[in-house]
Amino acid sequence: MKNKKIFDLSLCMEGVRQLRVFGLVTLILYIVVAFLKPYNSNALSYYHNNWIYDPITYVPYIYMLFMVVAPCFTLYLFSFLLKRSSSDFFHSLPHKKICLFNSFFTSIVIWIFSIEFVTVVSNMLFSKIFDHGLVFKAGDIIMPCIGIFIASITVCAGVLIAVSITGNLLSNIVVSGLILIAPKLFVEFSLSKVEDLTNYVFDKGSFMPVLTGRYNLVTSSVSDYGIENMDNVIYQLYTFILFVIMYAIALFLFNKRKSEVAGNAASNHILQSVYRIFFTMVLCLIPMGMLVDGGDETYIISWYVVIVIFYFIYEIVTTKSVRKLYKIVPGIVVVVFLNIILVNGIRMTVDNILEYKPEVKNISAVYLEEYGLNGWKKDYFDSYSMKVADYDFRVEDEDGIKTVSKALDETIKHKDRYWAENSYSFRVCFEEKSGEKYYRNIEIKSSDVKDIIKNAIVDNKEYLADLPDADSVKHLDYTWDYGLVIDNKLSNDDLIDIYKAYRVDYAKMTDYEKVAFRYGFEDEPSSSVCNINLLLQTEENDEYINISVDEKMENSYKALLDIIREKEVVNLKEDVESFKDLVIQNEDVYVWTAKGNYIKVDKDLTNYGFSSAEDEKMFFEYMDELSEYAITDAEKYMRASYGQQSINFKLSGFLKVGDKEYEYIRLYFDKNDKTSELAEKIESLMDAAH
Amino acid sequence: MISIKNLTKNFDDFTALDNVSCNIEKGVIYGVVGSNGAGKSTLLRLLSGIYKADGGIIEFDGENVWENPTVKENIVFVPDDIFYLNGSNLNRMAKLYASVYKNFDYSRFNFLVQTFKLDSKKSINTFSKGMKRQAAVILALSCHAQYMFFDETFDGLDPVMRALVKKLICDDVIENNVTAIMTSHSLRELEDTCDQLALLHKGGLVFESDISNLKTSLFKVQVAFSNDFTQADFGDLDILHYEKSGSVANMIVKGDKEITISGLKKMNPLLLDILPLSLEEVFTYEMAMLGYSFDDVFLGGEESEK
Repeated sequence: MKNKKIFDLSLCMEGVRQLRVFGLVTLILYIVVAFLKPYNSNALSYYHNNWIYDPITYVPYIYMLFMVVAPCFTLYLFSFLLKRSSSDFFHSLPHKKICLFNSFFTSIVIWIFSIEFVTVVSNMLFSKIFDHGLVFKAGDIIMPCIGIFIASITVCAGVLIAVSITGNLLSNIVVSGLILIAPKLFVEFSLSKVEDLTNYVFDKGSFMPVLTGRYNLVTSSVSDYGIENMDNVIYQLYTFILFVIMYAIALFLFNKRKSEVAGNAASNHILQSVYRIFFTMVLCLIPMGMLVDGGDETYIISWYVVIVIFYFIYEIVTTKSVRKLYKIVPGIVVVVFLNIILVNGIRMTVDNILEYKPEVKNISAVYLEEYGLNGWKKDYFDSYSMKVADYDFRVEDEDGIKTVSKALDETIKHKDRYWAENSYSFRVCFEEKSGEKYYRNIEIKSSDVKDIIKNAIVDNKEYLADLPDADSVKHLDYTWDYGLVIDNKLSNDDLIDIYKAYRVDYAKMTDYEKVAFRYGFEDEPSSSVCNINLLLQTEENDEYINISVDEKMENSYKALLDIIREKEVVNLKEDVESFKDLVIQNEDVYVWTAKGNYIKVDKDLTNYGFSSAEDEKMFFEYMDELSEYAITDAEKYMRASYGQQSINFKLSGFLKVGDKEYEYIRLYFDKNDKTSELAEKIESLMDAAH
Repeated sequence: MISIKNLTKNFDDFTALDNVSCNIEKGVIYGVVGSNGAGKSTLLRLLSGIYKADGGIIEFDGENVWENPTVKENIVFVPDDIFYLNGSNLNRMAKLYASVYKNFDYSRFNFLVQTFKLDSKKSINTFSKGMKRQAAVILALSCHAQYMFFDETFDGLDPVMRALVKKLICDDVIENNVTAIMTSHSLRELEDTCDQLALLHKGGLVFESDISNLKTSLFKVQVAFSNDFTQADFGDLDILHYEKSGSVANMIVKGDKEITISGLKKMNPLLLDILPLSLEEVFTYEMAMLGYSFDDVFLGGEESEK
């Protein structure tokens, strides 16, 4: 009776024994690593209070388990396939090849699992001992471990395909790389190029993630999506399915493999050509990228010459023979042909995307998503505003759609290289009635934008949501550069007053003004003088909202001015005898000019670095003279800070003036002939000093 | 019984075995000789189930060997290029063999280790070529396999060890009815050990015969006449080798033995003896007939034909 065993425990344990040295060394290394991080936290008295433990963060280099350990174990245990003697021995064993394959694979799995399990458990133990603040939750521990484990066995399966169709170590490694990474490289290259050349009209992230391997834990860990998806069930499921497919292929190929392939680069000449061409194509991605981007011809040709050399080197190194090299020359023609197909394929795809124009009758809505290149980005908006309207203008009226569609014609006509005056550049999404979405970067005249927005908000009030009541504000903060110069900063009550006034201003605005103000479509935009950040207390979670006060906001601007008038601006004229006295009172003073020049002076009046004693004397005289023109009125000071008609100097170094201390002092001077001349002279002295 | 029918094995364009057929009875020691590259090792690898035949059938008691663990459990193969795990010693290798051969016998292993006086704890890497072969024999004999294949196993063994190995194999064959197949270039070894012999050349089976009665068309004649004579006087005979010393001539003749003797008797010889051919002579002259000779090596094919 035939023995139909597909797994043998003794053989599996033999595999475990063969991996014993590597396995134990890896395990010890990981236990040391698992110990070090919590130990260091303890040594630095840095505890992660209430932080949830997850192995990806707390076990450094755990991802090396699938990036390095799994492939190394696989290559080592299956290295019997590389030598004639060992290959013959294992093929002579009284087991089916499938049984040998499954049993040895299980040996690798046992080691990987053991290393991962012991590492994580010991890390948890050490963390418990040394890093008291951590919180342990089963789901947050187990899920990333499952991800790492699935990624590891998937890498094993990929390497097993390679060892089944190659016969020496170099070709093992190269083909493993080609199987595991190259498909992703080609997909990523093609999609990135199309995305770049279409000015992000094409979104590679949304392009068939199943086909592009986005959910592949192995490749996503080393690409844009990062290792943080290890605990993602979709990623895990996708990668596991990938593992099953790759394992089945590896099993089939291993079963078909002949012992006599041992030592050869490939099982036959055709496969060797395929590996060589595939390998060369990976190298060709660099000059192909240059070709697509229209790079320098000299560089492109140089790259191709180097690649041809590598094409032959690969053959020599893998076959250890220089004879019959002429036979691989036709392969270069195939490489050239594939290069032409790929480069032209990308160009044609780009042209097709950029020339596509949806029929107006088929469009259900148009979304003005964000300014194209230098306007708003969604990320800039606060969480409250994002929650209110997501900041995409949905345009559903026929006129609006027609206007945007007409603007699209211009964009297509100029192949996306079109910049019109008095217009805004938008990223626009055309939603077709079929549900398909199509993105373009379009220039729309500012007058058209005004009309579109006016129409868009007639029936849609979600863009006009009221500002929250001041009572719901939990915390306020503000940013302005001159805050440190004024002796009393804005208090919480000050900010509440300003916010209340802002709500009044906001309520007075027309619907269009509200939207235009929020999105920056104002006809005459003005600079904000104070940005206030509010933290809103809500039932579900906290929301942030930013408000900007400028001169057009009548009530809030006045409220701010009223508060500012009561504050004092540092007055060097009155507070110190001379600039030299200020220096003597402080350890070090840095004097910065508006052009970025600076000089450091210390309390011993040394180390100026001026080129002569005369220059040093002049410097103090000019500074004293200039200080006479320093603005000390709070309102004037505030206007000067955002206006163009002023000169400013900054003094830094934690300055003590009288009994008050300042992190730095910014001095504003009215811009006139005298102040300009003095500032120029000081700049000249600093130039000479440096 | 091992039954080989029309066995063919190709390596790319090269045919290593071409339509080989033979039967090997149970409990015999079967020798395989042949020129370099004749296909001896390939035959053993095919018999061990390492290679898959491109044509023909190999059956062990009616069962195919390829991918058949039940059959392979009873086969052990000692190749010319022996495999040992990196840095392993004999004990570690015994563990490996024990994990794959159900019948691996540790008591026999220990006995053989003592008999061969090898240190089972010492790394095999430090062993000499001969000691490595001894180690391989120990491991193979410890498996209690019904079929044992040895590929040039005697090469590198000193005469004492060679005799010991031969004895151990013969004992196994006699006591356990084991079938052993061995290849060697040392025809003397095979002559002493084997029951049957096969000659392979360029992938083909030239002949297969009992060693005691080699079924070859060649025979050696010693003849003397009262009058002087030369090779030309035997014009009717197909003489492969002629050597005259004094009045006695020794000839290697190809053809029908009875017809040749009767023809020579008619010439009234003073001495007429049919002497046994040594295995080496059979190999040399059979191979010469196939165009593989010393002359070939040094003079090339054309000279040989002349």
